Parts: sequence; structure tokens; C-alpha cells
Amino acid sequence: MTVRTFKPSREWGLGLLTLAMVLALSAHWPQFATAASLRSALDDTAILILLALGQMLVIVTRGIDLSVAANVALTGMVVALINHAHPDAPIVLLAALAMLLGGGLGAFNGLLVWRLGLPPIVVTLGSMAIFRGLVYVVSGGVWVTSDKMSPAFQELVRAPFLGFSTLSWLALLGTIAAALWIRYSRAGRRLYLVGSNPAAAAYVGVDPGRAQCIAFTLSGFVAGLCGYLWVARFAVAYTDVAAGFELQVIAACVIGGVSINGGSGSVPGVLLGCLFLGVVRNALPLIGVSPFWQMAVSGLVITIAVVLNERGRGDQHRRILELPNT
Amino acid sequence: MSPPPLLRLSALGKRFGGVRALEEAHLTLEAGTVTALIGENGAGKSTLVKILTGVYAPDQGEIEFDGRRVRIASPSAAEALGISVIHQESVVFEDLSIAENVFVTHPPRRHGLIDWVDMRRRAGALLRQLESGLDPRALLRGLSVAERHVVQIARALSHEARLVIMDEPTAALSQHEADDLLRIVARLRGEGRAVLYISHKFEEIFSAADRYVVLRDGSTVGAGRITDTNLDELVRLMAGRAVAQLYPERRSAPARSAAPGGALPGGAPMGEEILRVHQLCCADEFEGVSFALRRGEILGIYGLVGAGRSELMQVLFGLRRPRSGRIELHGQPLELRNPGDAIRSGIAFVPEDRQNQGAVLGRSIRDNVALPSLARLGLGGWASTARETALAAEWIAQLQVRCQGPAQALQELSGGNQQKVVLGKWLATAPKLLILDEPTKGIDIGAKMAVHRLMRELATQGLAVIMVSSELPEVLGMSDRILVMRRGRVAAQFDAGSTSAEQVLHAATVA
Repeated sequence: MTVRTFKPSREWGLGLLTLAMVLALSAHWPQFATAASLRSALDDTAILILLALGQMLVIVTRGIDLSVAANVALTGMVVALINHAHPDAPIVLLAALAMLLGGGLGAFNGLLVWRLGLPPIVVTLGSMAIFRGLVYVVSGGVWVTSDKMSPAFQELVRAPFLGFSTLSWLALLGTIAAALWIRYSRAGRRLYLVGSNPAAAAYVGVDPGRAQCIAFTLSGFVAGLCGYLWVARFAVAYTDVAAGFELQVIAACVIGGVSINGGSGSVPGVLLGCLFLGVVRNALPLIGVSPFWQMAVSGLVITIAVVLNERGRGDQHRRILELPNT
Repeated sequence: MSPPPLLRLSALGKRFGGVRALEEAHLTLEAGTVTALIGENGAGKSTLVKILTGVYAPDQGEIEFDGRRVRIASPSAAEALGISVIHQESVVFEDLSIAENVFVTHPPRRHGLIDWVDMRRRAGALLRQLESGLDPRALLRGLSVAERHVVQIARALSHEARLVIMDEPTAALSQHEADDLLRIVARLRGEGRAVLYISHKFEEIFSAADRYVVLRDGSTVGAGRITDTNLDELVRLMAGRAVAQLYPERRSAPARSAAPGGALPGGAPMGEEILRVHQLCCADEFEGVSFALRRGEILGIYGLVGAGRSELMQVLFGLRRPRSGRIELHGQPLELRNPGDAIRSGIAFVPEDRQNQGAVLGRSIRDNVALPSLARLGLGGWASTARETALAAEWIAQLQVRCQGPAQALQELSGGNQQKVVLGKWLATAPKLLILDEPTKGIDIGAKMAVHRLMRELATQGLAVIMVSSELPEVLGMSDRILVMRRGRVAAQFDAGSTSAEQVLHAATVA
């Protein structure tokens, strides 16, 4: 059973590039390649990996989810507040609650796209603002800091198991689950049918709107889980959690070979895209790039990677905003 | 007692709004035969196919499959019966592999999970059965048209298809690829399947088909064994009907007289030559096209899909660059870099696709009518609503457009009135040459007649008109001269008054 990659040459290229970066960095800064440092880098990237996998499902169906980061912020704030009010509530229960809430938010997006036929970019632009606004509403503008969170809440993500934190394990499990689902389940394959040719998909009995709704809901579930993970890891919940992070998530997908036109994208690709971004992000402070420049350099790297990715694609380019009747 | 035919369609009827796409269509198919379905554009072939594949439901008539009455309610229902269709713009997923495309509706499964190994194996077997060397893992994107057809046939076979419908399968294929395809058709027949083969290529029909059915104006006008008929008979069946007196009186013009300004009995003088096209070539679309056009003349261009007519018009309007050849307007060579140049030279073009290219449906009548004339209506760079409204009102009156006024949104008008507005916007530019691509497509009969009357009036007043049309009666009824294109070349030119439907159709379809 081989996990079939879409364009093997592309992913190999990206993988080798990332590996080359890691080797080059550790040659110069040996502390980069220590187990502890790499584990920490993986932890840093775990949430990005999970969110990018969810986003991949949406992009494959020709959609886009700009609201993921706001989803993370809202669900994170909600479970942090619940934990503050009920410190004895089991953390696993809170995590499950976060997923349910996140899934509900995702379904909100999905239903608007499916039932009302609205373009995903417009829907999620709106829900992004709504969700983030709700963070402020539910918290009253007050931050939930680590002293307000129960110790169990904060430790679960860090809890080591066989050398890796729970966070890293979740990312790994998520990757495997996603890879298996999109390859071996009919529901997963339907996402690709819909993204590749929605009219033809409808002809063979697959409702494109419904598939998109499912993708948004799943993306929401994942974002909900990441909501808990984020506030637990950084031990703080406030309105601007993960602000702007949706762009990193989408960049990771695009770098990883997920086509904005829909219909193609692989889990290994997305994983590599996340690792590439993770290495870049961790490398910059190491190289001594001033924090003020880090964001610009990171953005530049992403832009170049995206341009190279789309140039390599050649043929069709579509708008993200679908015009009627065309 | 012999088994019932695989498929019997009796008195099938289907209408869309005011248009009767099918009237009295009959069709009988036996297993193990190849039946050619013949008819000119608009005869009802594609409607018939859509009914068979579950996209439309007929308004009247019966469908019997294996002797049982059936209702084909959806594409899945058609598939379940064993009916498959292969056409160019088809159900293909470019990002997915051949194997996945073949088994897209019914992937093999093991323990509930998709079994890729089995899928690849079975797809490979089907491809080999079709004598194709394609790798089932290859993505569809890189495949040629011929190879995609093979994939679709493989899909049909994977469904145990009993009826395979092929819609113009060799349209974009090379001779070699077409031969391969016909071999596959013979193989399908040998396996006891029925093939319904839609084509305009008579050479293929006579070599591959066993039986034929001819549709005309939505009804079956002839059917039988291919060996009992011949080319002339088929063409006669396709075309033959009296061209009803639906068209305005044409002026009688002397056959291809080059004398400029010669006065004619019963009409205004047919003017001097205004357009001359010499050996025009456009890569991959058409070549060696030469013709001339005079003021006051209506030149009808007829041909099948793929003949290159629209592409030729696009070159005349500056939408496409020719590779070689000359265009002369009023004796002066014409270099068109874009439609703006064409408009400034006095050429107007009403495209076939009114919805996306001909008009801005979301805007008002006034906005549409004023669009090509904005420069001259404006006052030093600023738009003048008053002048635009006046222009629109003038043309609404002249063309008798039924509407609430210049401010009404164009999409609220009927198709025929929309077309009048499109014509009005171009006539407002006072063109010397008017090119019309399928001017009466999708318009009801009343509006059709109005547009035809208008065209004739304009010609009488001295406008030179080129009309591209797929409707043979329209071409015969409206044109002064007819130019027939076939596979990118000019097949023939006729004087409309002295030719017949059979001659024109013959030129358009036969080598």
C-alpha cells in the first residue's frame, strides 16, 4: 500500500529542499539539529500541520476557508473559560467539546456555501470576522491567562509519550488519518471528484455543494481541536489568538502542492509544506534575522514558493471568486 | 419467436418552451449492431441522446428496453440499464488517474475500503481489451482526445454496457486514431453490444454501420439497412423539405457579376465590392479562404461544427490573428490588431454567444446600445447620459423593441428583443460591414422573422452582411450567395437562387 503522491517529482523536490535547509543550518548551528531542538520545532509546527490538513480538504473541493484562525481563537477561548469555571472537568471532554464547537462553526460555513450557493471566499471572509468578534463577546475582553487555567489543562499537550509530546502525536495521527481517509474512503474520493470537475461530479450523482459542506465541517472540527491545543500550549486565551494564521495555513497547502483550482493535493505534500515553513520560521532567529524582518522575510519566502508552485502548474488558472454563468 | 429489440423508442416528443426539439422520433436498436444516427444541426440528435442518458425526460412517447417499458429518470438509471455515452465534453476528471476515471461511479472495494490494486488491475485489463497501451495509473490530463475516448469506452465496458452511444467520436481525431476507434466499434458489435453512432462523416457511416436512422426537424424520416441506401438518398432525407415562405423576398442578382453598381430589376443597385479576402489562413483553424462581398449583399456561410466559420469571422473582426493572407476593405489592405481597429474600420460583429459575448445582460438597454459609441457620445471624456438615452430610444423605436424603456435591464427582455438591442448597438456605429454569427439562434419564430426582415432591409440600404448559420433553411432563404466551409476550407460557393439544399449539404459534409 503506497500512499500515492500526485506529482512525485514535486514533493521530492520540496522534501530535499527542506532537508538541505536543515542540514545547512545544523552544519553552521549544531544546536539546531539536537533532538530537543527538533522536537520543539515539530511541536511548533504541529498545529500548522493539523490546520493545513483540514484546509487541504476544503481547497481540494475548490473552496477556501479564511475563518480557520478565528475558529481556533473562538473555540480556544470557550474551552479556556469553561476550564476556568470548572477546573475539574476532564480535559479530554473539553477537547471533544472544542471539536464539536469547531465543527459547528465549520458547518455554518458549509451550509452557507451549499444551501445558499455563496462563494466560499465571501462566506469565510464574513465568518472570520463574526467568529473573532464572538471571542470578544464571550470573554468580555478579558484575557484567560495561565493562572486561571488548571494545571491539567496546560499539561496535557506537553505530556510526553515515547519521546514526543501529545501535540506532536496528534499531528502524526491526524496526518495518517487524513491520508487514509482521502485515499481509501468513497467520501474522501468524492472531494477530489467535486474539485476536479463539479459538473461531471453532479452528473455521476455526487452533489458538489454537499461535498464542500462536508469539507468545511471537517476543517472546522480540526480547527476546534487546535483551538484547545493552541490556548493550552501558549497558556493564554485572548481575542487575537492566531491572528493572521490562516495565511500560513493556506501558504503551507499551496507550497505543498494543493492546487487552488481544486481536485489535486496530497497529504505528504501538505506535510512537507508545513515542515518547510516550520524550518524557515525556526531558522530565521537562528540566522540572526532581526525579529522586525522575520515577518517580511517569511512572507517573501512564502511568496516565492507559491509563485514557483503555480508556474510549475502551467495550464488552467481560475479565479477564487466564481462568477455566475461561466 | 425472436427476442425483442434491445431498445425501441416510439413517437418520442420533447419541447423546450416554444421549441419542439423532438416531434415523432422513432428508433429501434438490436444488440450486436451499429446504427448510424444522422441529421443536420438542430434535428434533435442531442436531445434524443440526452433522453436516453437520463438527462431529460420525454414529454411523449415510450421507451422500451429489452421489451419492457422503462423510465430513464437520471444518468445513474441509464447506467444501471447499461446505457453509456461517449462524447467530447464528457464526464472526465483530469486530475485523477485513468483507473479511477473508469471506475468513478463504482470503485472496487474490499472491507469497505477502496481497493486500488484491484481497480488498477481491472482497468488495465479493459484497456488491453481495447488494444490500448495506456497505463491505468496515468492521469487523464495528459491524454489526447483519442485516448480519452478509449478511457470512456473502458468505462462503458466496466458497466457491462449494452448500448454504447458515440457522439461524433472521430471529430477531433487523426485518420489513424479514427481507424483505431472504428476497430473498437467493430469489436463492441462483435461482443453483442449495440452501438448508436452519431456522425456527419458518411465514409465512416458506410464502412462501419449496419443500419441508419435519419432525423429531421425532430422526427424520424427514414431508417433501414445501410446496404439498402446510398449517399444521395441519405442527404435527401436529411435536407429535403420545401423551404417555406418564411423569408423576405431576395432581390434577384445576376450570377457573380463583377460589374459594380449595376442596376437590377426590382431592387436598388447592388453596390461595389467592399470586402475581398484572399487566401486567408489561420493556424489549425482554416486555410486558403478567399471570397468577395459587395455592398447590399448577404453572404451566408454554412458548414458543420469544426468547419472554421466562427474562427474566420473572428479574424475579420480582429479577435484572432491570421497567419497569412490578405483582407481588403474598399480596396485598401486591412490590418486588424484588435476589435477596436475593426470597429473603426466600419466592421460590426454580433457573436453567437449573446449571453457572454454579445451583450451585457445585467445592464440597461441604454448602456448596451451606447457601448461601442461611447467615445462619440461623450463630451470630452465624460459620459453623457442624455445622449446615450436618446440614442437608445431612437433604436428602440426603429427596431420596434418591446420593452419598458431604455432604462430596463437587458436580461428582462425576451431573446428576440435582446438580439434586436444587440443589432441596434452595432447599427448605431453606422458600419459598412455587418457580421452576424447565428443571429436567430434560440429565438422564437416571430422574432426570427423580424430579424430576417431587418437584415434584408439593411442590405437593401447598402450594408454588406455576412451571416454565419447552421440552419440550412435560413441560409438558403436569406442569403444572396452561399459560401460552404468544410474542415477549414471553402468547399463551394453558390448563388443562392440557383442551388438546392442537397447541393449545399453535400458540399458541407462530403469530401
